[in-house]
Amino acid sequence: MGIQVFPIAASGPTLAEITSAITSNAAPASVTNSSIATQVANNSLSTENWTLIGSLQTTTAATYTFSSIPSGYKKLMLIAGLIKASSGNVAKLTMRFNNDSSSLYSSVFMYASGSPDYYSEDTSAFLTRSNWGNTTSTFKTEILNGSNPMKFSYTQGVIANSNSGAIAYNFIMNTYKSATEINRIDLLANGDNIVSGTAGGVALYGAK
Amino acid sequence: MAQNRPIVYEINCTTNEEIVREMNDEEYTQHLIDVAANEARQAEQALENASE
Repeated sequence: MGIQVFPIAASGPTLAEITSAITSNAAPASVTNSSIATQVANNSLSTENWTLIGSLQTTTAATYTFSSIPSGYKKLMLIAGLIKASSGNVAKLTMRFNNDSSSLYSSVFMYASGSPDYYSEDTSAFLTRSNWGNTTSTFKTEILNGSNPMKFSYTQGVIANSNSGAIAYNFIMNTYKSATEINRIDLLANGDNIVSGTAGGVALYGAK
Repeated sequence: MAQNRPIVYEINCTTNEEIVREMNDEEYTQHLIDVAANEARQAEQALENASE
Protein backbone atom coordinates (compact mmCIF):
# COMPACT_ATOMS: atom_id res chain seq x y z
CA MET A 1 0.00 0.00 0.00
CA GLY A 2 1.54 3.29 -1.07
CA ILE A 3 1.11 6.82 0.12
CA GLN A 4 -0.95 9.02 -2.14
CA VAL A 5 0.64 12.43 -2.76
CA PHE A 6 -1.61 15.17 -3.96
CA PRO A 7 -0.22 17.96 -6.11
CA ILE A 8 -0.30 21.35 -4.49
CA ALA A 9 -3.15 23.33 -5.86
CA ALA A 10 -4.93 26.40 -4.69
CA SER A 11 -8.21 24.55 -4.36
CA GLY A 12 -6.76 21.29 -2.97
CA PRO A 13 -7.87 17.83 -4.05
CA THR A 14 -11.47 17.26 -4.93
CA LEU A 15 -13.69 14.90 -3.00
CA ALA A 16 -13.60 12.52 -5.96
CA GLU A 17 -9.80 12.53 -5.90
CA ILE A 18 -9.72 11.84 -2.16
CA THR A 19 -12.28 9.04 -2.49
CA SER A 20 -10.31 7.52 -5.32
CA ALA A 21 -7.08 7.67 -3.35
CA ILE A 22 -8.68 6.10 -0.29
CA THR A 23 -10.39 3.30 -2.16
CA SER A 24 -7.33 2.48 -4.23
CA ASN A 25 -5.24 2.20 -1.07
CA ALA A 26 -7.87 0.74 1.21
CA ALA A 27 -7.31 -2.95 0.76
CA PRO A 28 -3.81 -4.29 1.27
CA ALA A 29 -3.00 -7.54 -0.47
CA SER A 30 -4.20 -10.53 1.51
CA VAL A 31 -1.65 -12.55 3.44
CA THR A 32 -0.79 -15.52 1.33
CA ASN A 33 1.81 -17.12 3.57
CA SER A 34 -0.14 -19.87 5.34
CA SER A 35 1.93 -19.66 8.51
CA ILE A 36 1.27 -15.95 8.91
CA ALA A 37 -2.38 -16.42 7.96
CA THR A 38 -2.71 -19.05 10.66
CA GLN A 39 -1.17 -16.72 13.21
CA VAL A 40 -3.55 -13.94 12.20
CA ALA A 41 -6.52 -16.29 12.55
CA ASN A 42 -5.34 -17.77 15.85
CA ASN A 43 -4.97 -14.37 17.38
CA SER A 44 -8.08 -12.85 15.86
CA LEU A 45 -5.97 -10.09 14.39
CA SER A 46 -8.13 -9.70 11.31
CA THR A 47 -11.38 -8.93 13.09
CA GLU A 48 -10.83 -7.08 16.39
CA ASN A 49 -14.54 -7.60 16.86
CA TRP A 50 -14.84 -7.42 20.62
CA THR A 51 -17.85 -8.84 22.48
CA LEU A 52 -18.65 -8.11 26.10
CA ILE A 53 -18.45 -11.42 27.99
CA GLY A 54 -19.16 -10.18 31.51
CA SER A 55 -18.48 -7.46 34.05
CA LEU A 56 -18.07 -6.99 37.79
CA GLN A 57 -19.10 -3.54 38.94
CA THR A 58 -20.54 -3.40 42.42
CA THR A 59 -19.10 -5.50 45.21
CA THR A 60 -15.96 -5.15 47.31
CA ALA A 61 -14.08 -8.45 47.49
CA ALA A 62 -10.64 -9.99 47.89
CA THR A 63 -11.00 -11.83 44.59
CA TYR A 64 -12.82 -10.91 41.38
CA THR A 65 -13.57 -14.02 39.32
CA PHE A 66 -14.70 -14.49 35.73
CA SER A 67 -15.69 -18.16 35.60
CA SER A 68 -17.08 -20.41 32.86
CA ILE A 69 -15.69 -18.20 30.11
CA PRO A 70 -17.08 -19.65 26.88
CA SER A 71 -14.57 -21.30 24.57
CA GLY A 72 -13.54 -20.01 21.19
CA TYR A 73 -12.19 -16.58 22.08
CA LYS A 74 -8.77 -16.09 20.51
CA LYS A 75 -8.26 -12.88 22.43
CA LEU A 76 -9.53 -11.65 25.77
CA MET A 77 -9.39 -8.13 27.13
CA LEU A 78 -9.94 -6.69 30.60
CA ILE A 79 -10.85 -3.02 30.91
CA ALA A 80 -10.84 -1.81 34.49
CA GLY A 81 -11.19 1.12 36.81
CA LEU A 82 -10.61 -0.17 40.33
CA ILE A 83 -9.60 0.96 43.80
CA LYS A 84 -7.76 -0.86 46.57
CA ALA A 85 -9.84 -0.83 49.75
CA SER A 86 -7.24 0.33 52.27
CA SER A 87 -4.64 3.03 51.98
CA GLY A 88 -1.90 1.77 54.25
CA ASN A 89 -1.48 -1.77 53.05
CA VAL A 90 1.02 -2.41 50.27
CA ALA A 91 -0.13 -4.93 47.71
CA LYS A 92 -0.20 -5.57 44.03
CA LEU A 93 -3.09 -6.79 41.93
CA THR A 94 -2.29 -10.12 40.35
CA MET A 95 -4.06 -12.31 37.84
CA ARG A 96 -4.47 -16.08 37.67
CA PHE A 97 -5.73 -18.18 34.78
CA ASN A 98 -7.83 -21.35 35.04
CA ASN A 99 -7.43 -21.40 38.83
CA ASP A 100 -3.86 -22.53 38.18
CA SER A 101 -1.46 -21.55 40.97
CA SER A 102 1.50 -23.44 39.53
CA SER A 103 4.79 -21.86 38.53
CA LEU A 104 3.84 -21.52 34.85
CA TYR A 105 3.79 -17.72 35.04
CA SER A 106 6.46 -15.17 34.40
CA SER A 107 6.41 -11.44 33.89
CA VAL A 108 8.55 -8.46 33.06
CA PHE A 109 7.42 -4.99 33.78
CA MET A 110 8.39 -1.39 33.86
CA TYR A 111 6.80 1.50 35.59
CA ALA A 112 7.38 5.15 35.23
CA SER A 113 6.57 7.34 38.18
CA GLY A 114 9.13 10.07 37.82
CA SER A 115 12.05 9.21 40.00
CA PRO A 116 13.26 6.65 39.54
CA ASP A 117 11.63 4.70 36.74
CA TYR A 118 11.83 1.02 37.45
CA TYR A 119 11.89 -2.29 35.67
CA SER A 120 12.16 -5.88 36.87
CA GLU A 121 10.81 -9.39 36.48
CA ASP A 122 8.81 -11.83 38.57
CA THR A 123 7.05 -15.18 38.57
CA SER A 124 3.43 -14.08 38.85
CA ALA A 125 1.06 -12.46 36.38
CA PHE A 126 0.46 -8.84 37.40
CA LEU A 127 -2.21 -6.32 36.64
CA THR A 128 -0.54 -3.63 38.74
CA ARG A 129 3.13 -3.87 39.55
CA SER A 130 3.24 -0.63 41.44
CA ASN A 131 1.68 -0.78 44.87
CA TRP A 132 -1.75 0.32 43.89
CA GLY A 133 -3.82 2.63 46.01
CA ASN A 134 -7.12 3.83 47.33
CA THR A 135 -7.84 6.16 44.45
CA THR A 136 -8.83 4.92 41.02
CA SER A 137 -6.35 2.93 38.96
CA THR A 138 -7.21 2.23 35.35
CA PHE A 139 -5.78 -0.39 33.07
CA LYS A 140 -6.32 -2.43 29.96
CA THR A 141 -5.04 -5.97 29.64
CA GLU A 142 -5.08 -7.90 26.40
CA ILE A 143 -4.60 -11.68 26.48
CA LEU A 144 -3.67 -13.80 23.48
CA ASN A 145 -5.70 -16.96 24.07
CA GLY A 146 -4.95 -18.84 20.86
CA SER A 147 -3.94 -22.42 20.35
CA ASN A 148 -0.27 -21.73 21.03
CA PRO A 149 1.18 -23.59 24.02
CA MET A 150 1.67 -20.30 25.81
CA LYS A 151 -0.66 -17.49 26.70
CA PHE A 152 0.66 -13.96 26.57
CA SER A 153 -0.84 -10.83 28.05
CA TYR A 154 0.22 -7.24 28.26
CA THR A 155 -1.14 -4.55 30.49
CA GLN A 156 -1.07 -0.81 30.17
CA GLY A 157 -2.14 0.89 33.34
CA VAL A 158 -2.28 4.18 35.15
CA ILE A 159 -1.84 3.15 38.73
CA ALA A 160 -2.54 5.36 41.72
CA ASN A 161 0.06 4.73 44.40
CA SER A 162 -1.32 4.39 47.93
CA ASN A 163 1.76 5.49 49.79
CA SER A 164 2.96 8.50 47.88
CA GLY A 165 -0.24 9.56 46.15
CA ALA A 166 1.73 9.61 42.91
CA ILE A 167 0.65 8.19 39.59
CA ALA A 168 2.72 5.38 38.08
CA TYR A 169 2.45 4.28 34.47
CA ASN A 170 2.73 0.50 34.33
CA PHE A 171 3.56 -1.60 31.31
CA ILE A 172 3.57 -5.31 32.11
CA MET A 173 4.06 -8.39 29.98
CA ASN A 174 2.99 -11.75 31.38
CA THR A 175 3.33 -15.24 30.03
CA TYR A 176 1.40 -18.32 31.11
CA LYS A 177 2.98 -21.46 29.76
CA SER A 178 -0.08 -23.60 29.17
CA ALA A 179 -1.85 -24.77 26.03
CA THR A 180 -5.19 -24.97 27.83
CA GLU A 181 -7.72 -22.42 26.67
CA ILE A 182 -8.54 -19.87 29.36
CA ASN A 183 -11.91 -20.52 30.98
CA ARG A 184 -11.42 -18.62 34.23
CA ILE A 185 -9.64 -15.44 35.27
CA ASP A 186 -9.13 -14.42 38.89
CA LEU A 187 -8.03 -10.94 39.97
CA LEU A 188 -6.36 -11.21 43.36
CA ALA A 189 -5.86 -8.40 45.88
CA ASN A 190 -3.26 -10.33 47.93
CA GLY A 191 -4.31 -9.37 51.43
CA ASP A 192 -6.49 -6.40 50.58
CA ASN A 193 -9.82 -5.88 48.83
CA ILE A 194 -10.84 -4.71 45.37
CA VAL A 195 -13.43 -1.95 45.18
CA SER A 196 -15.53 -1.08 42.13
CA GLY A 197 -18.18 1.49 42.97
CA THR A 198 -17.50 4.88 41.47
CA ALA A 199 -14.23 3.60 40.01
CA GLY A 200 -16.21 1.64 37.46
CA GLY A 201 -15.36 -2.05 37.90
CA VAL A 202 -13.88 -4.45 35.41
CA ALA A 203 -15.25 -5.76 32.14
CA LEU A 204 -14.11 -8.81 30.17
CA TYR A 205 -14.30 -8.72 26.38
CA GLY A 206 -13.50 -11.44 23.87
CA ALA A 207 -12.74 -11.63 20.16
CA LYS A 208 -13.11 -14.80 18.12
CA MET B 1 -15.93 -16.94 67.02
CA ALA B 2 -14.75 -18.06 63.61
CA GLN B 3 -13.29 -15.32 61.47
CA ASN B 4 -15.04 -14.64 58.19
CA ARG B 5 -13.08 -15.66 55.16
CA PRO B 6 -12.29 -13.21 52.34
CA ILE B 7 -15.02 -12.60 49.79
CA VAL B 8 -15.07 -13.77 46.17
CA TYR B 9 -17.11 -11.69 43.73
CA GLU B 10 -17.74 -13.93 40.75
CA ILE B 11 -19.59 -13.83 37.48
CA ASN B 12 -20.40 -17.01 35.62
CA CYS B 13 -19.75 -15.84 32.07
CA THR B 14 -21.96 -18.54 30.55
CA THR B 15 -25.07 -17.86 32.62
CA ASN B 16 -24.27 -14.22 33.55
CA GLU B 17 -25.10 -15.08 37.16
CA GLU B 18 -23.30 -12.93 39.74
CA ILE B 19 -22.26 -14.66 42.94
CA VAL B 20 -20.86 -13.19 46.18
CA ARG B 21 -19.49 -15.86 48.48
CA GLU B 22 -16.72 -16.66 50.93
CA MET B 23 -13.61 -18.42 49.66
CA ASN B 24 -13.85 -22.20 49.71
CA ASP B 25 -11.18 -24.32 51.41
CA GLU B 26 -8.95 -24.61 48.35
CA GLU B 27 -9.18 -20.89 47.55
CA TYR B 28 -8.54 -19.88 51.15
CA THR B 29 -5.45 -22.07 51.40
CA GLN B 30 -4.09 -20.56 48.20
CA HIS B 31 -5.04 -17.08 49.42
CA LEU B 32 -2.87 -17.50 52.52
CA ILE B 33 0.02 -18.63 50.34
CA ASP B 34 -0.47 -15.64 48.03
CA VAL B 35 -0.56 -13.16 50.91
CA ALA B 36 2.61 -14.63 52.42
CA ALA B 37 4.32 -14.42 49.02
CA ASN B 38 3.20 -10.81 48.65
CA GLU B 39 4.64 -9.92 52.05
CA ALA B 40 7.91 -11.68 51.21
CA ARG B 41 8.08 -9.80 47.92
CA GLN B 42 7.50 -6.49 49.69
CA ALA B 43 10.21 -7.25 52.24
CA GLU B 44 12.64 -8.17 49.49
CA GLN B 45 11.82 -5.02 47.59
CA ALA B 46 12.31 -2.91 50.71
CA LEU B 47 15.75 -4.44 51.22
CA GLU B 48 16.67 -3.73 47.59
CA ASN B 49 15.53 -0.13 47.93
CA ALA B 50 17.44 0.30 51.18
CA SER B 51 20.67 -0.98 49.64
CA GLU B 52 20.50 1.38 46.64
